[in-house]
This record gives sequence, C-alpha cells and structure tokens, in this order.
Amino acid sequence: MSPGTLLDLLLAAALPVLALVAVLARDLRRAAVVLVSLGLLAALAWIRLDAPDVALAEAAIGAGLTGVLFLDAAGRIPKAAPRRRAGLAARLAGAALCAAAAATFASAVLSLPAGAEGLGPAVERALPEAAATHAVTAVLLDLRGWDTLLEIAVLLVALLGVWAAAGAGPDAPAAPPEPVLAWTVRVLVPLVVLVSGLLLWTGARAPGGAFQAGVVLGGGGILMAVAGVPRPWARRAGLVRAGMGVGLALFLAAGAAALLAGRALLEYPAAGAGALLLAIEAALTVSIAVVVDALFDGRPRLGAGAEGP
Amino acid sequence: MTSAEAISLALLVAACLFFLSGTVGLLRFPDLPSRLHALAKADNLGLGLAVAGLALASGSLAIALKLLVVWLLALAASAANAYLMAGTARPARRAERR
Repeated sequence: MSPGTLLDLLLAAALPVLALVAVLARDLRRAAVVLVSLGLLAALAWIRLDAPDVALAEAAIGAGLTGVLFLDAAGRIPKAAPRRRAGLAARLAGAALCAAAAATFASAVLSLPAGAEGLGPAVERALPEAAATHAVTAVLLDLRGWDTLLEIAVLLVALLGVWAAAGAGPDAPAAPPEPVLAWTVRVLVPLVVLVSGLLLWTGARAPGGAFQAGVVLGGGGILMAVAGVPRPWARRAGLVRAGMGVGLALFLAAGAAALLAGRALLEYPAAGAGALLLAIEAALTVSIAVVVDALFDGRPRLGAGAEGP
Repeated sequence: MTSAEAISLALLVAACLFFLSGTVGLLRFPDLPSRLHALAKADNLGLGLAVAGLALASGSLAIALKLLVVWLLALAASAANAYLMAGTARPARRAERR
C-alpha cells in the first residue's frame, strides 16, 4: 500500500468519526472545536483529491471562519441557561431529514455513469476564450459568473439577517486587551493582508481568488477585534456599508453594461477582459472581507465620530 | 543515498519522535500547563526539525525559505496560543482551590 493510499484511508476514516463526535458532543464549545478539526482534515482531503482551490476555501471558511463564529456564539450562551433538549419527535424528524439528504447525495454520486468525462474537458475546451487562465477562476467569474453573482448577493442578505437578529455589537471589548495577543495580531495582520493580496493576484492563473482572499482578509479583521486592536473602520458605518456593497455593485454594473452593449449578461468584452475580471475580483474581495468581519463584529455602532447614512 | 538525503531522513525521524512524544504528553499529562509544555515541544522542535529536513530534501532555496516562514509563523502562533490558554485556565484553578 502506498503512503498516499494510507493517508487517504486515514482521512476517510477520521472525517465521519469527527463529524459524529461533533454532532454527539454535549458541550457546544467542544462541538465547535471538533468542527474546526473536521474542517482542517477536510481541507487535507481536498488536497488529496487534487482540488487546491476547494482546500484553500475549506481551510479559510470551514476551519477558520465558521469555527470562530461557532465558538463566539457558544461563548455568548450563558452556561447557567437551562438547555432545552428538543422532543423525541423533533429529533426523529431531524434525523430523518438528514438521512434523506444523505441518501439523495449518495444516490446522486452512485448514479454518475462510470468513466464519464465530467465537466473538466468542457471547461478545458472553453478556457482559451475565457478571461482567466486558471480553470476554477474562469468557471467562477466568467463561464458561470451568474452563480458567483448570486453567491455574493446571498452573503449580503445573510449579513443583513445577522444584523437584524443580533443588533449592534458591544461598544468596547469586555476585557482589557491581552498584550501578548495584541502583539501577535499586530505582527500577523500585515502578513494576512499580504497573503490576501497574493491569493487575489494569483487567482487568475493559479489556485486562489476572491473568496479565499476575502475570507483571509476578513479573518485579519476578526483577529484584531478579538485582540482589542483598534479597528479604524469599525465605527464608520458608511464605510462598512460601502465596502459590503461594492462587490455586488461592480458585478451588476459589469453585467448590465454587457447587456446594454448587446452582449449576453456577464459576457465580458474581448479586449480588457482580464483587467475587468481583476477589478471585479478585487471589489468582491473587499466585500467578502467586510461581510466576514461584520458577521463577527455586528452592526457598526452609531456614536461619536460615526458617519451615519 | 547521498549524505544530504541521510541528514534529511535523520531530521524527519527526529521530528516524528518529537511529535510522538508531544502527542503522548498531551494524552497522558494530568493538567493543562504540562500538556501545553508537551504540545509546545511538538510545535517548536518537531515542526522545526521537519522543516529543516524537508528544506534539505527540496534542494531549492525558495522552497526552503517558504518552509522557514511557515515554521516562524507556527512558532509565534503556538507561543501566543499556549500563553493565552494557560492564562484562561489560571483564574479557574484559583477558584477551585478556594
């Protein structure tokens, strides 16, 4: 057995076990920590499946961002609060729903014709005419740009939902900033910005792109919020809102301009398509970063020095 | 096997030993500070030896420098993490003694 196969078998065995542990954990914080480990192993599994783009997204979103959000949410639930367990009927219904979803996925995978070529060759054929040379970026922003346009809109709606439900965040961190944490974050954040820029820039030719870059950048903002490092944008509601919207706005403008010029929606002009794509990706990165940061931090406070809408 | 390969292999084996002892320490030590102490050995020395072995095996300066950056980042993160985790545990232990 080759070392690669051994690693694959270990991953395939560990992933369902970790998922089960996360579901069965009584303590919410423990469940969140297990989910982070699950995300890291899933990222490794994607690398083994030769999908570095998905691995990057899984590590940044699955292990990093959702882990922080879950831990934060678990920490907000008072320990003394009575834990209401759902009734047996509700739990059975939930289990049945999950089983049905799993069966649907399994039957979809199993019904794939053996030896089918999949969509890979079709993308390869379309790649010379696409605005990016990296297949994944070409699919996300050019060949199937429509999907990405809707995804960024979904992110925006999700953030509005969180703001409506959770309200404004606390005015100041409850505890005084921890000096070691603050120092580490001050060292890390410039590197975070650098890595985010690298992911954005190389996204056209290599694994990376707006989603990974945006989540990494927003993660830097979350680190600063946790460490109590001043975040100059946090009180400027207008700036935050503009950042949230710029990705979707530019994407929509590009799509509308294509329609007005008599092309299909999101069909980029032949000349300058690469530059336009980079501009859209940069705007998407900013929007995703702001959404990620604001998901954690809550609605910007309107107070002294705030510029209201 | 060239001498570089032999040194690289020895470094990787040493790294595995540190990771093994760190994991055993995490599982077997009784309290948080000694567990953190065991983990820090795996993070610092284990990863450092692994990075040194892989850098030697890569035979490329660019890859060696990237691996060095990975190690330095892990060092900073692991030191800060250990400090923070030990810090959060201390008030709880004081409360236990009372």
